[in-house]
Amino acid sequence: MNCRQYQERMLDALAAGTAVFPDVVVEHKRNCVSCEAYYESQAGLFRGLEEGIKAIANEEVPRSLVPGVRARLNDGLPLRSSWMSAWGMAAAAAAILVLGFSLLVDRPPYQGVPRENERVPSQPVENSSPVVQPTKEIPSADHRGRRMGRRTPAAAAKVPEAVPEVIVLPEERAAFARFVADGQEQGVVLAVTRVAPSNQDVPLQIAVLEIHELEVQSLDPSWE
Amino acid sequence: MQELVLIQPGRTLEGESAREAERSKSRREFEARLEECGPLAYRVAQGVLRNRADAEDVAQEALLRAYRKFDRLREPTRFRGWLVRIAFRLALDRLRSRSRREIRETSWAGPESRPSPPTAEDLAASTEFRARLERAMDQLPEKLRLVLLLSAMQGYTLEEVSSMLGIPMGTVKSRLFFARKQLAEKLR
Repeated sequence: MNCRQYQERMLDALAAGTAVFPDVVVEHKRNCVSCEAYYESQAGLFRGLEEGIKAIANEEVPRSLVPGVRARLNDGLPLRSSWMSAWGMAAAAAAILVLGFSLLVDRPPYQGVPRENERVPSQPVENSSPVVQPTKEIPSADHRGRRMGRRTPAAAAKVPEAVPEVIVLPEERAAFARFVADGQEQGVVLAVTRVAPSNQDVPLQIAVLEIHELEVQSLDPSWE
Repeated sequence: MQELVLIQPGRTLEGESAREAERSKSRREFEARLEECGPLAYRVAQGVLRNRADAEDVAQEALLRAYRKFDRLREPTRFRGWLVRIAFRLALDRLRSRSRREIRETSWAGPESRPSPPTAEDLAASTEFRARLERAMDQLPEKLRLVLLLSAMQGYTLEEVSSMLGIPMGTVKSRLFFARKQLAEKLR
């Protein structure tokens, strides 16, 4: 063995933590100055290593460690792992999406808010004579309010979607009657109407009418 | 007045109270284990991270994860081994993300200056030696590093390290041998 090989044997012994060498190595070290110096330097290095590693591995533990864990336990630790909570969130989001989509599909088509000039349907008729068709059952405001929610097939069949619904307030009805009476006296208006039923809440259906000439006036006589 | 008690389907009050008692017992056992194993988790994390705040954070996270699985890991050796591995793994993850951040932040800095190698005794006495040792430990393979750290901890024999990690005693010794040898080569 040469010096390099002896030095390798010394290193192995130091790394194993024994520092007990075979007799041949001890004999060589005693007689070789360079190997003896090499051993001393390497033994010092390994001593430093051991001390350094022990210092790193035995750092003082902060006092806040255990209380911190206890506090987090008391705060209510989520007992499911993070992937579970992530899947839970995803499932909840999917459920909300499905519910929203089903409500959107089930909702009746929007027909718009009736405008002021649509309160009396104005459609052409072949015969301009006053015609009042028999009263049909038209869904009232209450029915429409219910339709905004979940609609049953039976309820949907009862509601004629194409018929516009008009709610006439009592004061508007009286004003309209006055307007018709005044117009008939002046001979400028031909209105189609009929006597209001005693039950104010019964909906009416008025036949289509044609207006050849229209003059818009306020229903309130005091407005002028 | 009649008292109204709501019971969820498939559950009984007795079952609930038994579960609650089991949870309380589990919590007490875990807290007893916390005093012993908290420092272990911290030191493993600190051995990797060498940053007190990060190590404490990682140790707490590891302990909370251990609590979640405590019912399955009540056997002390298994619990300690599992805790050590999870703390080590979390610390490595934290170290990697920290390293990536530091690389981004110091990308404009120049190359690191390397001082001339002093003698072993000088190195051992200096803080520079500590810094070089830490860098050398960072470069060790993970298996060697963990065994080196655990075997250097006070209160743990090589037999305990062996049972903690679930590896034979001979493997612990050989890993320790290679770890020391590689460290010495890097520090020479």
